[in-house]
Amino acid sequence: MLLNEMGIACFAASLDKPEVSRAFAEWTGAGLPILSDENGDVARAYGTFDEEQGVASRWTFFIGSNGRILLVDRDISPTSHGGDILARVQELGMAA
Amino acid sequence: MHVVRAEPTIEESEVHSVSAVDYGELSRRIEDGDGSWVLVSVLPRASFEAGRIPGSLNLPLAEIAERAGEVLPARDQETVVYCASPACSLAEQGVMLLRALGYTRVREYPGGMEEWTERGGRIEHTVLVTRKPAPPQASRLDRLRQALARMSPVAAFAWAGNQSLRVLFGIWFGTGVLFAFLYWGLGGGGAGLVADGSAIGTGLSGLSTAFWFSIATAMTSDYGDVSALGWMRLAVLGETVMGLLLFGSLVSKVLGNQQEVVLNEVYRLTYENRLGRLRTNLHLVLSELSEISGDCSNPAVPPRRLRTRIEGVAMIFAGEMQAVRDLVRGGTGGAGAAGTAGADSAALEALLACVAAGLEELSHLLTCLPSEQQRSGSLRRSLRRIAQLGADLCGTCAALPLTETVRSWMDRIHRLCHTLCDEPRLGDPAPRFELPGSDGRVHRLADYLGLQPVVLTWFPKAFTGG
Repeated sequence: MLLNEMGIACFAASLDKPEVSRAFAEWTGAGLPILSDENGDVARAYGTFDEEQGVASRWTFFIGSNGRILLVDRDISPTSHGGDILARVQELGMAA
Repeated sequence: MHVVRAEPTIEESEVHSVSAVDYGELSRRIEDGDGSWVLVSVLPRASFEAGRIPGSLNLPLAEIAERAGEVLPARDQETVVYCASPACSLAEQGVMLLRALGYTRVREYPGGMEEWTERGGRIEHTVLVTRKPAPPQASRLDRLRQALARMSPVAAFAWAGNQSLRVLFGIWFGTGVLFAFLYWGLGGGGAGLVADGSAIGTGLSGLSTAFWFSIATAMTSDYGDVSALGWMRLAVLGETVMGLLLFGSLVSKVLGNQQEVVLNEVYRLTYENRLGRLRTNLHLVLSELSEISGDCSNPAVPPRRLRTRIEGVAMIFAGEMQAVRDLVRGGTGGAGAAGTAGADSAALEALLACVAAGLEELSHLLTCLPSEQQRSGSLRRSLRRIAQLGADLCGTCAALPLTETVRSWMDRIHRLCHTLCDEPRLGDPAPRFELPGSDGRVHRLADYLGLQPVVLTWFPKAFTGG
């Protein structure tokens, strides 16, 4: 089931330029919007900015509808990404 | 992610339909040599240099976003992109990315290097090393020189230097014995050893004289009581040369071993000295931490002041942890724990316990700061550094001959570091964001507050394999 259908707003984010994110979204056919945090301010606020590499670390934030952080997953693998996120969402009981 | 491929819009499908270039067209256009278009390999530089379609430029996929403008200045020039084979998806990604960056006439050669080679297309290489062809005489001379170099005294000394003390002594003594028998057994006919004016006999006393003479020669000393006559002198010369080499190496080896013992002692003392100094410093950090901890519950102390003190102590702590890391991993100075295995594991344990206690105190202290203040620049940098150093210290990944206790302390430090930098913390309000999305809309966290949960998944870079 799609996360969006479960009533969860799902976003990917990186420091890529918006046009690169757009091409990447098209290429992957990802069903979720890819956000562009070009200057890294949001990544810094989330603590996921890797100063040495100049990119965001592969962290996933689960945010409750009250706006508070429920879980930070730092071990999600890129290959089983969707499945991992779904499993966490179910563990946390986030689905409406 | 769940894959939902959007139906292409009409204009998109128009662009896509003319995108492919086949082998025939490509080879014809290369033959014609018209300069109106440009051929681009999106393979990594090494593959590009190993072999490419003639006249191609290189723009590796991962560099397109940054370097496209530099490599391909004209956005309206016809551009053909290729990679390794029909199975390789880099070219397709490259085409999409270039189009996204405003290149209007991008096409793909889907066959790639594989089809190009199979169908007999010419390949261009980058010659990385240009070798100077040497004239044949010189090469023969070189070979002779090399052979001589292998047999030179320098090479022999180098070889002897690599042998152990026992082996060297064995060879040296064996040489002495061998030559003793030679002097004793092969004498006669004007050649042989002479002692006190007459030839040494063939009896046991003759053998003992030969033995005495041979060992003295192997030690490169000559007492003048025995001398050699005839061709035997040549043998003596030979033994002297061998003795020089072997006995010389033996002596330098003994001295070198002693030097090593002294050096190890110096290392050990330096190590203990550093350990001691570090312990003192860490104790100071600890006492400062517990003092701040006392102020933490004191409402009279303003949070600003508290923050400054925590920032300061975190910075110093990070510095001390760096020293601990270097000490444990032998990072600098050569006097690492690896060199002094087990020498002082109790002291090391105490040191690591200090670090762990400090970390615990620090993580407790952070809870008394309001969360926005925790994330001030300097403090965050220090915490990040502490976490990194903690990860470096991590017991399970450091393959050092350390005792189990030290290892478990290192694991503990690693864990504590991890919780220290768990930012933003669970239960904290998620930082607000307002960012442009690939769907062309601007997304705000605020739009979902009170309505829907949000999952925000960060990834390093598009088009880099995940």
